[in-house]
Amino acid sequence: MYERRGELKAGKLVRIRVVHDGETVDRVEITGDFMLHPEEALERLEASLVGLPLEVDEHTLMDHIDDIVQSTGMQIIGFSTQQLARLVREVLE
Amino acid sequence: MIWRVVGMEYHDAFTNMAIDEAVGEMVAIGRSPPTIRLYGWRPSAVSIGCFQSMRDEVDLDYCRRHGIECVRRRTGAGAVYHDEEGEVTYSLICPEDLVPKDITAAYRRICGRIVDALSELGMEAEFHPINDILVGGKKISGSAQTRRGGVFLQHGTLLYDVNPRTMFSALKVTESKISDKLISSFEERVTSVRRESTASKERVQRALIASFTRGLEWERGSWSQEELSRANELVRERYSRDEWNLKR
Repeated sequence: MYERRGELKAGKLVRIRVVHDGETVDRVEITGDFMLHPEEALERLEASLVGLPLEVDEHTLMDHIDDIVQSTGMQIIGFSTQQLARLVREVLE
Repeated sequence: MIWRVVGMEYHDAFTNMAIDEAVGEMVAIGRSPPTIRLYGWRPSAVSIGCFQSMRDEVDLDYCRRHGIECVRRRTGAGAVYHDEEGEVTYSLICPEDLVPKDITAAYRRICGRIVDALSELGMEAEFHPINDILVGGKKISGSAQTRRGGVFLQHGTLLYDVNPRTMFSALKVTESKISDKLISSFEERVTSVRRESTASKERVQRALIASFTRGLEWERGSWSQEELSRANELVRERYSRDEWNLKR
């Protein structure tokens, strides 16, 4: 397993830790001082990224994240889904 | 609807967070009235936002050595050092339909009451979205909120007197050592009631209660036995446990 980390300072600080096996994402942890409702939805967002291939492109990532945001009714303050998709893509490089 | 006001009271970090949650649960099932509480942290403590990493944000060794408790909140936003003597913390817990649906609007309304209290004490304060209050351009108060089961909770701190050295020792800062430059940069960004006013802590508490309850029907109250036993349960099951506090 390999571990990659990245962070962005949008409105708030967002840190991401991705564990992968060289081909697909195995675990994702998103931390920071952002605000998100409902709070439990973050774990669903993290889990939804597991299994994605490392070469997944930014647009697919963003569609994927937007789907989770919509299905959970998630409200995020501190970063946008586009910024998160870009950060995940950077970390997977 | 009659609001209940509790405090000023002091508890350890785990109990403070457990009371907020226990009261929220009781408000949700109609067994507790909407509640405003003022409280402090005894001993001093660090609380982190529910999405933060405890190990990234807090110097756990320093806190252990100095008897500073560390707890994960159920609300987002950042890590806070709660000095036993240096701040007044508040919580407002009520049915969700009593506050604006929009997150920023809800912050604006409740923080507006703190701004009014500070004005009453002679300080020119302003709400700084998303969740801060500034005096003279410097932060004096920060808040966080959540909504669960139809209940709204906003809690936050008002800095009464800050000791930046202890704060920077308990919280991890990017700089490798706590330099005079770091302290002066902090003092350019953060202030406290003591720096801005001669008001005593008791006067601050009275001003906060007067402002939070303006226009409301309210009475002084205390915790029910049911709230206290649920809070004790939450301390044991969640807030004092590494599984919760170190989960990220």
